[in-house]
Amino acid sequence: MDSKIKTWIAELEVAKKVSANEEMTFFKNLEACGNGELITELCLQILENIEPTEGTLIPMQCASLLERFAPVSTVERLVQILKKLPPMTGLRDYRQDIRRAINKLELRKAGECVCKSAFTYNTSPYDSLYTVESSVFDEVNYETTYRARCNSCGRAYTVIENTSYHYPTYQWR
Amino acid sequence: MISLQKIEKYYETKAGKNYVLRGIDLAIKEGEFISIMGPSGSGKSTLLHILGMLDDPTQGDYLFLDQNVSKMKEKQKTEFHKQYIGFVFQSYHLIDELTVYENIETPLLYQKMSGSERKSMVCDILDRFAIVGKKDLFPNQLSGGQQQLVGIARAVVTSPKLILADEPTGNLNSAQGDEIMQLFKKLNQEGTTIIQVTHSEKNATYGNRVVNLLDGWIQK
Repeated sequence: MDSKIKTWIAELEVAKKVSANEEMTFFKNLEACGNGELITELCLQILENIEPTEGTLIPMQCASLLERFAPVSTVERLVQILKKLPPMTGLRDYRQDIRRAINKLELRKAGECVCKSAFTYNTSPYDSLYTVESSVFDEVNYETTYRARCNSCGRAYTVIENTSYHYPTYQWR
Repeated sequence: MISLQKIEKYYETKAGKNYVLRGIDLAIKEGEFISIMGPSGSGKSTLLHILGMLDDPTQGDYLFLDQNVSKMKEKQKTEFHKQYIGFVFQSYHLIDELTVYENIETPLLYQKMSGSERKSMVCDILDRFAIVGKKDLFPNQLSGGQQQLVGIARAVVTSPKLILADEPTGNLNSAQGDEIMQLFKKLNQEGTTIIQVTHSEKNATYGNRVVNLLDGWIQK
C-alpha cells in the first residue's frame, strides 16, 4: 500500500508540473482505479501535506473523491486535517469542500441521504445530485426560485438563487 | 449575426436632445473581426455597450442572431448576454477578492452546469492561456498584461460567439498589447466574432474591417 501511494504521489507531482488538465486526469485515473482504500488514504495524505500555495484544484478533487469513496470512519481524521489546513485567501475558501465531504460522511453514518448536505454549503441546484424540475424568476427581487429533487431519495427542495453579489448564492429549504 | 437598424441614442437635457449615436446602420457577419475607431466622445463605447446588451438604444432595432434585442425583456437580454457574449474591459474589471481561478469560474456559476463540468472548463482555459501557475494568485499580484490575459480567459470560458473588447490594450505596454492582440487574432481564426473599440491604428490592422465613428455617425 505504501509503495503504491508513493507511486501515485510521484505521478501527481509530475502532473502538477505539466498542466491543470493533467491534474484533473490524475484524479480521474485515481477514481477509475476503484480501490476505495487506496483512494481514501492517498487523498488524506495529499491533504495532510498540502502546501498553502496549492489551493483550489487539488483539495477540491480530494474532497470530491473522499465524499464518495471514504468509509464513514474517516470523519475524525478529516476533521483533524481541516483544523490544520492553511486557509485560502480566496473568497471561495476550498475548506468548504472538505466541510461538505465531512458532512456527507456524517449523513451516511446516520443513514441519511447525502442530498441534505446542500444545507451546509452554497450548493447549486444544478449539482449532479439533483434534478431541477422548475424555475421561476422574480423580476422585482432579481431572484430565481428553483424546485429541485434529489436523484437518489426523491426528496423535493425549494432553492432560492440570489445573484446580487459577485457570484450566486443559494438558500435551500 | 448582428444587424443594427437606425439606432439612435440620446439623452434629454433642458437644451434638447443630446445625441450620442445617430442613424447607425451596421451589419456584422459571424467570424468578422471589427475595429470601431473614432475620437473620444464619438460614441464608440456606447455602441459597444449597446452591442453587448449592457445599454439600450433610445430608438431603432438591434437584431442579434435574428432575435430583436430591442424588444426583449431584461431577463431575456441577460440570458442572451450570458450565452453568447464575452466582454473584455480596458481596466480588466477582475474581482479583487477572487483568485484567478475564481475570476475565471465566475461566469460559469451562472450557467446550468455541475461543479465537475465547471472545473474541467476552467482547467482547459488555464492550460490554453498558460496561466495554471497563477491560478491561486489575486489580481493585484499580477502584471497588467497578465490581468488582461485573465480578463480575456474569463470572457472566453463560456465559449461565446461574440467577444466585445473596449480598448483592451489601453492600459498595457506595447509588447503586452501585441500579445493580447495576437490572442484575439487566434480566437477570431478559431471562429469567434470579435468587435473591439480602439484608438490604435496598429491594433485595427489585426481585424478585417474598420468602422469609423464621428459625432455619433458612422463615417462612410
